[in-house]
Amino acid sequence: MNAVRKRRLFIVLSLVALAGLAIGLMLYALGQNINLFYSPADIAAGKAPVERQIRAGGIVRKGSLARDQHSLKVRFTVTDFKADVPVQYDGILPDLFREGQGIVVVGRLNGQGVIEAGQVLAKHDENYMPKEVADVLKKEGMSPADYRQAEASGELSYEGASDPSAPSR
Amino acid sequence: MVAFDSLNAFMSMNGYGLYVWTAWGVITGLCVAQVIMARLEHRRIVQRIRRQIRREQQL
Amino acid sequence: MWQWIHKWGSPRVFYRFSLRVTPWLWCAAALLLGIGAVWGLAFAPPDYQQHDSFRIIYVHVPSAMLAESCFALLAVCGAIFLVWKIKLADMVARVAAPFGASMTFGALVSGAVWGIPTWGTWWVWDARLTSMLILLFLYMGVMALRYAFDRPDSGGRAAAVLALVGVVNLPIIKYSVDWWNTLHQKSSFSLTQAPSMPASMWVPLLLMMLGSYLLFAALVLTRTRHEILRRESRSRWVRALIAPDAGSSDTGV
Repeated sequence: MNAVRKRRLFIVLSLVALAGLAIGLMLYALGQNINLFYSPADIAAGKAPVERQIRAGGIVRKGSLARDQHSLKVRFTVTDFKADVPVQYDGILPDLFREGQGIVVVGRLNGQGVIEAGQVLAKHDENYMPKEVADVLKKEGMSPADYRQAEASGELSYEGASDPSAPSR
Repeated sequence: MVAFDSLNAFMSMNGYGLYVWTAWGVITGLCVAQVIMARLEHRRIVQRIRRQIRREQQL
Repeated sequence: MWQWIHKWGSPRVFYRFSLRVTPWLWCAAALLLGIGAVWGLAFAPPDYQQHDSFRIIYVHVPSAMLAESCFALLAVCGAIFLVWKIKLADMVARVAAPFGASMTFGALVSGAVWGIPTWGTWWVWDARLTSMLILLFLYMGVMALRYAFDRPDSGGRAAAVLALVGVVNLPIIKYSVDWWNTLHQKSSFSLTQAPSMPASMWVPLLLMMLGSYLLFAALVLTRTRHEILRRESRSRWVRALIAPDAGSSDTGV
């Protein structure tokens, strides 16, 4: 490679490096603000502003869903297994909403630490499987210890999730 | 094994038809449009070069 | 090795090579996409949670992957054009950009359409969706810059510079779901791990991905040929190829 091309290659590489550095620094400075939502642990630590529109994300705690008899009002608890946040919502829940499922709620945190949600979004995970596989996994069950461990590491957002291609036990 | 009981169930995607067919339609349409445009581009360029040659021969 | 770049940089050599391989590429792409589409739409089992809306994955993932790969191609071509001044690299970049842009648009639209039944919204400003939208703007910028200069070479150079700067966005798109909280889930496919779905679901997806890469290759090679004809229209070999009495069968699409 001759000297002119070497110089041009050097310019091109430093252009990419500089752009990468600039954008890396920008993202680093923006930091947490790029996150779509606060986790319940963030809210418990007081990182989320009160009485302002925020988003909170986590898993709907099993057995926490309470529906009002006469209206669409629901109350449930969002957890990341480190902290819990109670949520109240008045509206139609998305198809994928269920206990043990990951969700994002949009709303304001009131003085009592309850989120009054205006919108509930279902978050689904990267696992796909046919109904039959899901049923078998659920029936055969993972051991409670496995399940809790998977839950705690945040890898699990619904009951019976695991690698469906793994041999069943 | 076909995942649908009937042609009707397939067309409606068990209620998700609007979403599935829109997404497939948009992306298929984009790809087909690119291929058609490539064919037209070929014809246009060949015709232009032919015209060029003819013009030069007339001079 | 540098010799190699210059040999393949010859439009004439490239033209002959492209003419030989593209018919095969078109056939293979049509075959894979056809099988993949029928399999994915009619034979793959529905997901236990998303039911049949899950079938959007078979167009959403390939278009998103192409959108990113195509931008990587623009950056590589841009670097080759800037450093070695090889015109062929600029031609490839020029013809690939519109396809990449339309695939980015397709990925955004199919994702929005998929989001309505699954998430309950067609758009959120999370890191994955936003970085993908930025990719669409980068494509538009690259295409617009090319025509913003009077001299085609300057336009090509400006587009190459923007492609090289914009390539920083690719790792951000890829890792956005790992680095930040997003509504978008993590990827189901990776080179190192088993896919997080059974074979009856991922084999058609793999066919669609391979098929769409072949389609991309066929389209870019074909249009590069057209671009060579356009730019070299005064050269003797192009004239011989397209002589008015020779017919156009051997220059075909």
